[in-house]
Amino acid sequence: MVRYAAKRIGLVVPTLLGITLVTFAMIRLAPGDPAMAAMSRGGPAGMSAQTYARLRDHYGLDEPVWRQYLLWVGQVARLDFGRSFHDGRKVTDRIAERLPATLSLAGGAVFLSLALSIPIGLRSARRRDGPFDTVIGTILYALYSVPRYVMAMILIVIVGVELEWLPPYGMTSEGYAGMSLPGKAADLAKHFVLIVVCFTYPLVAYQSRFVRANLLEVMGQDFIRTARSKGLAESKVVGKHAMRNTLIPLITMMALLVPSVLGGSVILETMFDWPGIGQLFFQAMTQRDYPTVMALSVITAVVVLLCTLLADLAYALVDPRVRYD
Amino acid sequence: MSPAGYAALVWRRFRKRRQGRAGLAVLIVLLLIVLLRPVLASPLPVVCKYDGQWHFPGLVEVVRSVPLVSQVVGPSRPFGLPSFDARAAAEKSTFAIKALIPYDPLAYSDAVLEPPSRAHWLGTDDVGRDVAARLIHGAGISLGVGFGAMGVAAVVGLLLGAWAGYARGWTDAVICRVIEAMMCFPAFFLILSVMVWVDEPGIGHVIIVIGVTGWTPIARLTRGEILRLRDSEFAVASRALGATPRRVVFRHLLPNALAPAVVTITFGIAHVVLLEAGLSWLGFGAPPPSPSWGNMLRSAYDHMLTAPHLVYPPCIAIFVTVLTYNWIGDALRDAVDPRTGIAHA
Repeated sequence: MVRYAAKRIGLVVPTLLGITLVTFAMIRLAPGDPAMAAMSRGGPAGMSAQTYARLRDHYGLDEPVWRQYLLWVGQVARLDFGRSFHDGRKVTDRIAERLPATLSLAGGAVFLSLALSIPIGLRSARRRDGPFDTVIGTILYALYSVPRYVMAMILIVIVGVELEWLPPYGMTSEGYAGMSLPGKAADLAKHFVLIVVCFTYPLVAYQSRFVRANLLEVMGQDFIRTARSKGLAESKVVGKHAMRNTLIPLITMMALLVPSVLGGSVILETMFDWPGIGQLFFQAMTQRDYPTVMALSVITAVVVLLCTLLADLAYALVDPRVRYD
Repeated sequence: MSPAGYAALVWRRFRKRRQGRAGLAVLIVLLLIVLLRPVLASPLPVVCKYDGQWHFPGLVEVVRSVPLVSQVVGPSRPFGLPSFDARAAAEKSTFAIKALIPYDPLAYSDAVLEPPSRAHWLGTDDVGRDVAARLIHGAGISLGVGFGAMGVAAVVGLLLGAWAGYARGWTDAVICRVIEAMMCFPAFFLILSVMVWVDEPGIGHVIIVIGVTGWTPIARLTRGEILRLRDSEFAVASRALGATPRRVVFRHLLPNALAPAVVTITFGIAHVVLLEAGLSWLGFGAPPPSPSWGNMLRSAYDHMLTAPHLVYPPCIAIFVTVLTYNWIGDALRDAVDPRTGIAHA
């Protein structure tokens, strides 16, 4: 295990390097340079050549490319992402204030999806091809093909606009500051429902199918037959013996869903006007706010990388066969 | 087994699956809609007798929609001329077969944000364009971007994957790390990061950017397959007979590694369709007047308080298209690798 872990962690280093290279190349290949972008943002129009030269100097743009890269990587390593072109605040501060909105969504979606998909998968697998399995299976398959933002639009229009049951977008209502504490909580919860549903349902669709398929595979194995022939109750066979062999792959698989959830957050948070990371990314993009874009790209990629790493290590920990590859 | 025999086997297994048949049927309908869009939604009549002469303006447009043909064949005169009022002419004709939806997907009108009616089956949008006509023409964009972008991704992915798997060593290590690094970025992040810097984004940019960022899963899969096949007997025999590496890879290894890649590509098209619509919604996809489903979704979003009916047509179109490719992909996967059929039966 230690050797496998060392080897696997060793592979992270070149990938990290690759991530910084991809991000750096993305910005360098862009037309115009950061100094131009900084000038066109804020400040009076028609800034002098002097200002431009000073900005170029500030961003180290007159240095050779490899030095610029090293400089930038050095800053990133110290978690110094510079200041935003948009409002001049520290990029790390801007990201930090957006984190709670996105993390609460992700946490809510993960918790809800597990709470739903495990029982659904379990029941489908136990009565395979029964009415429940067929009906739920079909619904989930259809849901799996509904893009998140399509579901978001339909929910916003039906629940938010036509029925007016829930607020269609935003995180808080007007006059939020003046509400009492329980009022605030209720207001937040109301705004939370639709967007969290949009994050949750694809996970449920994916995970239930995964749990079902995995359980069916496990149920065909010898140790389950042994457990049954010992005279164990079916609920124990499934709930204890089979479930245990399904949960771990499920958790590791969820780590691999992180990029799609993060990618989806860009459009969903923009649609719901939700002040999270995804919306910040999109705003920074349209404002050509290089430091924020680069910081978010690197941070996201590193988070994804760590999730894959943890998934692999966790898998190797429980399944010794992986280590001998 | 010869590649032709294998393809026939896959096709037989594919046909047995209900999902496969249904998916293929819907795909054919979609392709027909794209192909026949000039006679389905256009102000030009399909056939008419105008001024004592027979004209086939709609049919001419169908022929002209084939790439490059429009360079040789001009529009039917006088119907295709910009100043000619085709709809008025069609009314005056002694005989005319009109298009199913006699509206231009780009033409403005005063009927703004109208709900569905007999004249406009799906209503009109914020500048009075017919939604049904836009939906039909949007199918072409969606399908074109789907096939185009996945075509780019497939070429890059197959070549790099084959190179890595065949060369092994350092080449392989470098390509693998690049793949891993790129896969750490959510697709949307990568595509947006590039699209923002394009000054006047067009469909071509969307196709290339999605293709250039989306090749990694195909490359990873192909690399594994080539790595597995490169020391098999037929490859060794071919090398022993003096075949160049290029010949071994392109004649012997790639055809045998293609099947799983095709499955990934099919799912990839579904992914591209929704990426493109999402990009257009954000304003970085097909440029605004074009009737892409994402643009339609955007105008629906902007006017959902006054015209909520605009939301459904593009939503349903995107859903049906994604579902179709998922069906085909699932059936294809089971047909290519019957072992997985157990789990998904």
